[in-house]
Amino acid sequence: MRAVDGVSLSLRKGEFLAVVGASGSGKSTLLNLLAGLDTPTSGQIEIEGTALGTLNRREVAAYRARRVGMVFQSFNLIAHHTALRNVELALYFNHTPLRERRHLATAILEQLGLSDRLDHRPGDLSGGEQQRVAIARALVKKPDILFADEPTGNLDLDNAKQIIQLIADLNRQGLTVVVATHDLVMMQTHAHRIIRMSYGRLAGETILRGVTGETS
Amino acid sequence: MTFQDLLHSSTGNLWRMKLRSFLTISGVVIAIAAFVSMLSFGAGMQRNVSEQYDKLGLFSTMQVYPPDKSKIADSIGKAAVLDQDAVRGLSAIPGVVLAYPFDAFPVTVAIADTVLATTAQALPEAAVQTKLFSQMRAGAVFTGDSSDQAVVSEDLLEILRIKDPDSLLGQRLVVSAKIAILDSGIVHVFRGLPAHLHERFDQIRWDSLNNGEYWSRLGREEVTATLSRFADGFLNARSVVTDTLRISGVIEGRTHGRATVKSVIIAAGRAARFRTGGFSDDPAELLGALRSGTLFAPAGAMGGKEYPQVTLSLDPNVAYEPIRDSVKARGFRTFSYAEEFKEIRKFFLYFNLGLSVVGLIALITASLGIVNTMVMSIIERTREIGVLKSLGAEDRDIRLLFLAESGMIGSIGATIGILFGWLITRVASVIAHLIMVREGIPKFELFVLPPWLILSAFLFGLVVSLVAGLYPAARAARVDPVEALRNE
Repeated sequence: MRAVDGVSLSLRKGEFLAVVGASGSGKSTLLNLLAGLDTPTSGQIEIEGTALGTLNRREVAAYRARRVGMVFQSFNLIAHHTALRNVELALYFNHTPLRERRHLATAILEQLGLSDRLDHRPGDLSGGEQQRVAIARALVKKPDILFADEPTGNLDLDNAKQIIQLIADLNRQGLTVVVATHDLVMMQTHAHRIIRMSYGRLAGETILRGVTGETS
Repeated sequence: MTFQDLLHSSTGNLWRMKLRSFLTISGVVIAIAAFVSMLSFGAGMQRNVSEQYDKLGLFSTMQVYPPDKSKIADSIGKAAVLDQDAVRGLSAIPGVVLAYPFDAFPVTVAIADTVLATTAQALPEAAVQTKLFSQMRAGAVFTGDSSDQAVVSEDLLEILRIKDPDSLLGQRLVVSAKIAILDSGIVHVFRGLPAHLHERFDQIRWDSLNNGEYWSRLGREEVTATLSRFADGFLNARSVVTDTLRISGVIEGRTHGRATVKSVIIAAGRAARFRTGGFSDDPAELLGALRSGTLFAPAGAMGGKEYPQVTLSLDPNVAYEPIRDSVKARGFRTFSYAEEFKEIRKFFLYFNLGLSVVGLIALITASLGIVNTMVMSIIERTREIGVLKSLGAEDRDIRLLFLAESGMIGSIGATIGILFGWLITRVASVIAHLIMVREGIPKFELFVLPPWLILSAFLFGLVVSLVAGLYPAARAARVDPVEALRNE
């Protein structure tokens, strides 16, 4: 059985794409494939004309390190590191000079309202704060695309709204965003386009508003 | 990922798992401490031997011996004789600074009220100035080949039950030796000659004087009687030569090995008087002198004496091999301490290798602990590996992260192990010194910790730990990020 089968879609630069569907519909797999974490058994993914399948492991890792930011439902912060160190980690693999890392990580955390949480470990932060740290970690390397896999899945409604608002704001600033979620209502407010997945296949597509930009 | 990142990450992870890290590092510490203390003992032994060789100048000393007698019997040509001419020939070999024979003879010495029979050794001044005779317990060696001073060995002190070698300095040493000389035989022939002639005159049978047979018998009897008197005088009426010397120094005793020091050392020129005009009472020496045609050589030349050993002092800047070959070409056997030391070094190499194997076994056991710790760490940190990969870490980065941790375990373990090993050697050394003092053995250091040993122990610990970390690191690098992130 294939997790994702026969999906064909293109993404424009600056677009906010929402991928909705029930659990097990293939949303996370699609995001993992797009982010270069997983490899398709057939078919291909092209990023600005370059097929991910033609890249070797090092090049794919470099793609993840420089061009992709990922946010997960369970935050995936490293428990024994502080918020600052968790964000700094994202800069370990894209050759950011050592002295710039702390500055960049502090700046992004402050920008996301976490200036008083820099030295806190994930266990000492609320769910919303943890997800903002995770978003800070995804954004600190200034990626081209942000992939968010159920970013509000572990949050209460208020925190979920704040996180989606934050992602929408980032998109308005020009960041291409792909969010996998089963919360269709929240996506209708912010996304340019919603695609619906069912049993690994593309079950429908809704264009909510226009986006100006090139295909990415 | 920079080296600093790896360092920071590995120390942080080890610190987080304090107990586990402590136990794993302890294994490495014990193994490295065992390795260091054992090799330190090997290095200490090697240094002691090397120092002894250097102290006595043995690296530039060669012993020469007469040809093997069993081989002489089989050979056709004339066998080489290790006599004074040979010594002169040996000293002319390029690279030979000094050649002197081992010239020992029995003497009776009297010091204060004690008289004892011992062996004296005649040495030229140049010989006693070499390192071989530099180990003085008190005083100094004599100067001049005709010096009236003598050096005694500390073995003599033991016989005399004297504890303080300084107390012997300046004391009078009366040396006497019995020598068989031609004079004593001749004197005995003529001693009582008138009485003998008178007796012989009475025995003459005047009526047989015309008989040739009678004259022949008379002549045989007379020659036999004369030779008998000569032999009786030569062998029994030996002269005693006495010399009074002053003790100038006490030298370390060496009763074994190829560089033996006899109880009394006398300047060669001075010792000649114990031989002038006489013959050795050693039948082998007498036969040797007879064979070489030097039995009646001029007095003092000692040309007829065959030596059992000749010592060569070599120029330390000249290779010993050509000298050895040159000596062998003259028909003599050689013994080179430098060559012997090569063998000793080989022995220590094998000895140290054996000790290293024991250390290696201990370290391999410790490395299993490292593998276990690292594998446990991977299992616990699978999700972290997935996160790092999602952030762009390459397989190589993950591998390096885990190798850095095992390397850190090895580095810390090796560093503490070296200190611990050093501590063990210090404690063992103190105990050994206490035993040496109790047993009356001169104190010497059993252990040394040379820089090469510290460096090798560190590298040994580090490399074995890194090798132990290879499998866990490869396993960590193979972690599938999607699977890892799915594991909640």
